[in-house]
Amino acid sequence: MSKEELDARVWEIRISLLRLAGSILRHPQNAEDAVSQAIVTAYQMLDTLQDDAALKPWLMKITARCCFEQIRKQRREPVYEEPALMGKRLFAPGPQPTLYDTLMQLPSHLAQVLALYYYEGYSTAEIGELLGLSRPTVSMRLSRGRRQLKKLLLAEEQEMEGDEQIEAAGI
Amino acid sequence: MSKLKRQAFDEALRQRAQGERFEVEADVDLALRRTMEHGGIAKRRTAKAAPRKRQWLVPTMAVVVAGIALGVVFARPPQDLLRGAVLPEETPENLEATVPLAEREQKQEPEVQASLRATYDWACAEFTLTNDTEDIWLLELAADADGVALEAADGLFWLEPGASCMARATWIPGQKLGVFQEKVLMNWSCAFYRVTADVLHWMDGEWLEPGQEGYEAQQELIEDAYANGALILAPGDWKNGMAGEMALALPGSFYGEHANITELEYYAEQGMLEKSQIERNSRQEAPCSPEFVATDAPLDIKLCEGYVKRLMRVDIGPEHIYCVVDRVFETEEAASAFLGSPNTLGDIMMKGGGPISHDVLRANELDVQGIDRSWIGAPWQDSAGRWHVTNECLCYPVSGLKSGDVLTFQAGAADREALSYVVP
Repeated sequence: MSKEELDARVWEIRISLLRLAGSILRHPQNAEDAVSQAIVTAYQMLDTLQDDAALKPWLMKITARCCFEQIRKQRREPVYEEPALMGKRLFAPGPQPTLYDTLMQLPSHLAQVLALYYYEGYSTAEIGELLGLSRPTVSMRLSRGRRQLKKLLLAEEQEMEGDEQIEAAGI
Repeated sequence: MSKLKRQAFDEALRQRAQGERFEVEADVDLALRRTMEHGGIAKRRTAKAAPRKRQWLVPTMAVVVAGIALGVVFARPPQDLLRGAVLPEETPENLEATVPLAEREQKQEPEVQASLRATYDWACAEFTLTNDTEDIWLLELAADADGVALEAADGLFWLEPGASCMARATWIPGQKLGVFQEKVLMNWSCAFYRVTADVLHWMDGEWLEPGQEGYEAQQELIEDAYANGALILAPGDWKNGMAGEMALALPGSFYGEHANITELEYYAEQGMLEKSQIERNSRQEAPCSPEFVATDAPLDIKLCEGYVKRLMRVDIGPEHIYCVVDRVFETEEAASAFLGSPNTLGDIMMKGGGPISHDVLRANELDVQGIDRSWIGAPWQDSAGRWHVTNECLCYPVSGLKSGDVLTFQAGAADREALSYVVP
C-alpha cells in the first residue's frame, strides 16, 4: 500500500478511530492525541500489516492500545489542561443529540463496548480481541450497557416530551 | 424485557447508530492532517514566555519582589508550565475499569486472602477476593467455625476482570458466659469457576416467589433466557458494579424435574462454567482477646500468695456489670488444691461515674440473676500453660450507663495498669 493510499484509507476511518478513542478516554484532546499517536504508529509499523483489507481493525486495535497507554501515563503524571481546550469537542454538534452523545454518559468500560458493537458492527469476539477482554466479559458489558442506555434514552425522551408540551403551551 | 422486545430494541439502536452522521471538528481534522503529513504528533500548544527585559533593580526591592513572587507561586494551585491550568479531579475508578489486563501483571486465577480476629464475645473473618485475570470468575466460598453464626461468608461471588470484593463471617465463639476460649479456629474453602458462557442474562430486581406480583413475567424472561442457553444471574447489592455476592438462577420449572442438582452443577455440566482444578482450603486460628481493652492481655489485679487474680471478662447487663475473675496458678496441683471460696476484691476500682460498690455473687445468686453457672468448673489450662480456677463473678449494680461510656478497671494504685471498656 502506498502512502497516498494509506492516507486516504486512514482519512476514511478517522471517525471510527475518534469515536473509539472518545469512548475510552472521554477527554477530547486526549482522544485526539491517542488517534494521532495511533496513526504515527501505524505508519511506522505498516510492514507488519499482512492483509491490507484488515487495516481498519488493525488500526482500531492500535488506537485502543494508545488510549490505554494514555490512561497509564495519566496515573503516573497528572496532566493539566489549557483553559482554551476546556470546551473542545471531537465532533460538531448536530441539530439533535445523537445516540453517541447519550452513550458517552455511560461509564467508559460500557461505552466503548457499545460503541464498537453498534457503530462498527463488531461481534463480541472481535470486540474482545480489540479491547483485550474475554467474550463473556464483553457480553456482560453489552448487557449492562444496553440496560443503562435504555434508561438514559427513556429519560431523554420524557424530557423532550416535557419541553414540547411547555413550548406548545406557550410558556 | 422479552426476547422479541430485546431484539427489537437492539435493532432499533443499531439502525439509529448506523444512520447517524458525524462531522469532525475542524481543529481535530487539522491536527490529524498534520500528523499524516509530517508523520509525527502535531506539537502541543505551549505558551511562549515573553522576552525578558533587563532591568536594574535596587537589591532590597529585588529581594522583596522575589519573596512576594515565591509566596504567590507556592500559594496558588500547581500549574503545568507547558499546558496551563488545573485539571479536574482524577477519577481513578474510570481509569481502573478501562486499563486492559494484558498490560498489567496477569494471574491465572483469582486470589483469596483471609484474616481472622476474635474477642471473647465475637469473632470475625474477612475475605478479600481479587481477580487480576482477563476472565470473569465465580467463586464459591465457605467458612466454618465453632460457635453461633451471626453472619455467614458462604456464597457465590462474581468477579469481573480487575475487580475485587469482600466477604465477612462473624460468630460467637463458645456460647456461654464464662466459658472462655483462648483461641478460635476457622476452616474455609474456596472453589473457582471460570465463566465461559457466551450469553449472560442478568435478572432485574428482586427474586420473586409464586404469588408475588410480577412473578409470571419474571419467570417468562428466565424461561426465555434458559431456552437460549444463557447463564442466568441474580446480582446482589454491589457498590462497584463489577464484583460481589450473587446467585445463579434457573426457571421454576427446572427444579421440579431436577431436584437433586444445584444451579452451579447444572451450569458447569452445560459448559457455561469451567471449574478450576485449583481449590483453596485453609485453617486459621486467632487468639481471643478481651474487647475494647487498653492492654492486650486480661488484667492482673492482685498478686496473692501462690496465684494471681486476673480480671478475665466483663459483661454488661441491664442493671449490672459482671466481672469474671480467675485465680491463676502456675501448676495444676496448686489450682486443684485451692479450696478458697470467692471473696471480695477491695482493690478493683471502676471509673466513669464515680466509685461503685460491688457484690460477689455466689452460685445461688447467679441463679436468681439468670446467669448461667456452667462456667464454674474444674481448673483449666490456658495457652501459656497456666492453670485457672474460674469461680468468681463480681457484680456491680449500675444505673444510667449509656452506650459509649468508658469504664476503667484499675489494679490498685493509679500507676498500675488499667483496663478500659467501652459500653457498647
